[in-house]
Amino acid sequence: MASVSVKNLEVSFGSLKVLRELNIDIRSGEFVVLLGPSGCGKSTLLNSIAGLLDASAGQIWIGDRNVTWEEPKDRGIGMVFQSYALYPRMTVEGNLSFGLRMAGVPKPEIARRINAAAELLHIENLMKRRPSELSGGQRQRVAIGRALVRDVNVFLFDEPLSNLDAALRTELRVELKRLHRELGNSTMIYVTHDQVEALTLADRMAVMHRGLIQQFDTPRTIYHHPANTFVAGFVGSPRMNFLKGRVEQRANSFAFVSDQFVQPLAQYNFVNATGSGDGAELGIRPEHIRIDPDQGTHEATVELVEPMGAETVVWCRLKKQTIGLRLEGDQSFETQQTLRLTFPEQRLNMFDSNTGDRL
Amino acid sequence: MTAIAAHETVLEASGPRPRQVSAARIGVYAFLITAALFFALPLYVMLVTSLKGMPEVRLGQIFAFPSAPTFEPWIKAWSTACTGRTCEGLTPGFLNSVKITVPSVIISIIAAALNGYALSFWKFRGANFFFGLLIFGAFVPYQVVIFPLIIFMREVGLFATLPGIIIVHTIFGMPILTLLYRNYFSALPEELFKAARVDGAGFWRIFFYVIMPMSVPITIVAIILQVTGIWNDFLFGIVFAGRENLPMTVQLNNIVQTTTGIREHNVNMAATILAAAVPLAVYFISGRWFVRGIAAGAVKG
Ligand SMILES: Nc1ncnc2c1ncn2[C@@H]1O[C@H](COP(=O)(O)OP(=O)(O)OP(=O)(O)O)[C@@H](O)[C@H]1O
Ligand SMILES: [Mg+2]
Repeated sequence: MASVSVKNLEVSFGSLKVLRELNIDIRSGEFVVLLGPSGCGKSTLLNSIAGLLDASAGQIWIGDRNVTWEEPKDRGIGMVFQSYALYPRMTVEGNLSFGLRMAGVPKPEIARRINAAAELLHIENLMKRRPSELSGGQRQRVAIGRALVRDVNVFLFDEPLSNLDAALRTELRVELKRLHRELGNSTMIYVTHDQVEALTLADRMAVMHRGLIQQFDTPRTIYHHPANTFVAGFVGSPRMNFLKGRVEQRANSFAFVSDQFVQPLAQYNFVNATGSGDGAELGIRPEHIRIDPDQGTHEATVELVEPMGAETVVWCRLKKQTIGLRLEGDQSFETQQTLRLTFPEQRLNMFDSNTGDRL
Repeated sequence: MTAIAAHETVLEASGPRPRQVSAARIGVYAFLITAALFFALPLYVMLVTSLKGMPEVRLGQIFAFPSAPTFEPWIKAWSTACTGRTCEGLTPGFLNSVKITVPSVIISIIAAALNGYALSFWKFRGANFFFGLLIFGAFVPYQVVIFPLIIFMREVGLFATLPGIIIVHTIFGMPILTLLYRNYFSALPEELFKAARVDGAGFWRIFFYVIMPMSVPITIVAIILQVTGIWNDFLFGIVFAGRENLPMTVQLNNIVQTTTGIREHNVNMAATILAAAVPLAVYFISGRWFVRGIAAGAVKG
C-alpha cells in the first residue's frame, strides 16, 4: 500500500501562498509526473509530500496513514534531487549507506541492500569513489540508488535529469521507466518541466500552473483533450494554434464563427454548455491541420518554413492570425505559396475565451 | 612528429613578442620589496639585538650583526626574567595563554558553527532578527561592555578565574565567527540538508556527519582568527583573567616595563619574539593548509 493523497493542501512562505486547496490522489504503483512552468509550485508540492516543508493547512496521506506532521524519514519515501545532493565527503558507498546507518540497520543487511541497488543501477565499480570523481550521469545514478536502498514504496524525483545533457537524459529516462517496472509496486512522483519527459514517463500527469493543478489525467487525454487553454498551450511543441471567434447556433448544429471564416462543429463533443456564446477560442494542434487543395475551406499564405528532418513546420498567415502546421519532412514549400487547409472536426478543441475552460 | 613540428614553425605568431618586463612591473616589484623591507626591518633589529650581550647592546649600533651571538637573553626571557617580585620569566604566562587560548578557541568555534548551522538550515521564527542582533554585537565597542561584564562575572562568581576569561573570549568571538559560518553555510546547497533529513539524520547528526566535514576550509579560517586574536589579547586578559591566570601578553608587558635596574633590551626583544611566536607559527603552518583548504573546497561536488 503506497498510494499518496494530498487533501486541500495549503503551503505558504510568509504571506505568499504558493499552494492552496490542492488535491491530488495518486494510486499505488502509479508513475505520476508533475509538469508545469518554473515557479508554479511543483517542488513545493513534492517537498510537502516529503515532509521537508510544513503545510499550513490540509493533509497528506501516504498509504493509509496521515503523515501530515511526520518526519521525512518516517513517511516511507525516498527522494532524488535535481542537484544530486550527494554528500561530498563520503564515498559512493558512504552515500548509499548513510540513511541505513542512521536508521541503525545491521551491517550485513546494509551491505546486501547496497549491493542490490548498485547492481540494479550499474554502479558496482564506483563504490569507493567520491562524488567529485563521478560524471553527471553516474552521480544521478548514485542519487537514485540512495533512494532505492531505503526500501520504500514511494519515490519522489525533483527534476532529476535536468542537469544532464540531452543524450544522457534520454538514456536515463528509459532506465527510470524500466526501474519502475522492475520494482513492481512502487509509486513514483516525478517533477519536471520537460514535456517530453512527462509524456513518455507518466501513467498519469498533473499539469500545474500558479499553484493549482489544471488537469490530472493520462498523457493521451491531456494531449488530445486539454481541459483549458493553459494546458492546451503548455503541452505540445510547436504550440497549439488558437483562433479567436465565437460559437453560434446555425440551424440545428453549432459553428465556430470568426471574422474571417466559419468552421462547422456538427461533430464536436461539447463537454460543457456552449459557454457564454460570445467569446470562444478554437484550438488545433499543428499536426492535425490538413492540406486539401480541393476541399480546403481556409486559405493561408506560407510565411516561414522550418525543415526539421523528420517533419517540417510551416508557419502560415490565415487572414490576420499566424498558425503553425506540422507536416511530413519530405514535402517542400515556398514562401508566399497559398495553401488550402481543413481543420478535422474530431481534432478541434473549443475553449471559452473568458475562463479558458474547455467547451 | 616532424610534420607537426614543421607545422608549428609555419604558424609562428607575427609581430613583436609582448614584453615580459614592463616599467609598470618594475614599479610594482620595487614597491613590494620596499614594503617587505619596511616590515622586516624591525624584526631584523629585534632578532639581532636579542642575540647580543648587554655590552654590545649598549653600543647602540642597532643594525650591526652580533659579534658573539648568544642565547643568554632568550633563556633569561623564558625562565628567569623578573616581573615585580617573581622571577620566572615568560613560562607561567605562556602556560596561562595556552590554558586560555585552547579551550576558548575550541568552544567558540563549536558554538559559532552551531549558531551558523541553526541560522542557515533550521530557519526558526525570528532567526533573522537573532542574526541581526549578533551582527550588531560585532560593532559594539568593547569598552562599553567591559564594566557591565565585570559586574556580571562577579555576580556569577567567575570574575578573575580561568573559566571566566574563557567565557569572555567565547562571547566576543561569537558575532564574527557566526557571521563567518552562516555565510559559508548559506552557500552550501540546501538540497544536501534536505537529503540528509530524508535519510533520517536529525539536528546533531546532520551537523556532525554532513555539514562539519564540508566545513574544513572555513574552520581553518576560524582557527587562525581565534588563535591569533585570543593569544594577542591584552585587555580582556588583564581585566578578567585574574592574577593567577595572566596571559603571556600581560606578562611580557610586565617584564618590559620593570623599572628596577637597567633596561635589558636584548631580553625584552627575546621575550617579545617569544610571545609573538605562536601567532607567527599559526600563520606559517596554517597558511599553507588554508590555501589548500580553500582550493579543495572550491572544487565542486
Ligand atoms: N523558500 C522560499 N521562500 C519564499 N518563496 C519561495 C520559496 N521557495 C519557493 N518559493 C516560491 O514559491 C513558488 C513555487 O516555487 P517552486 O520551487 O515550488 O517552483 P517549481 O515549480 O519547482 O519551479 P522550478 O521548475 O523552477 O523548480 C515560486 O514562486 C517561488 O518563488
Ligand atoms: Mg523546482
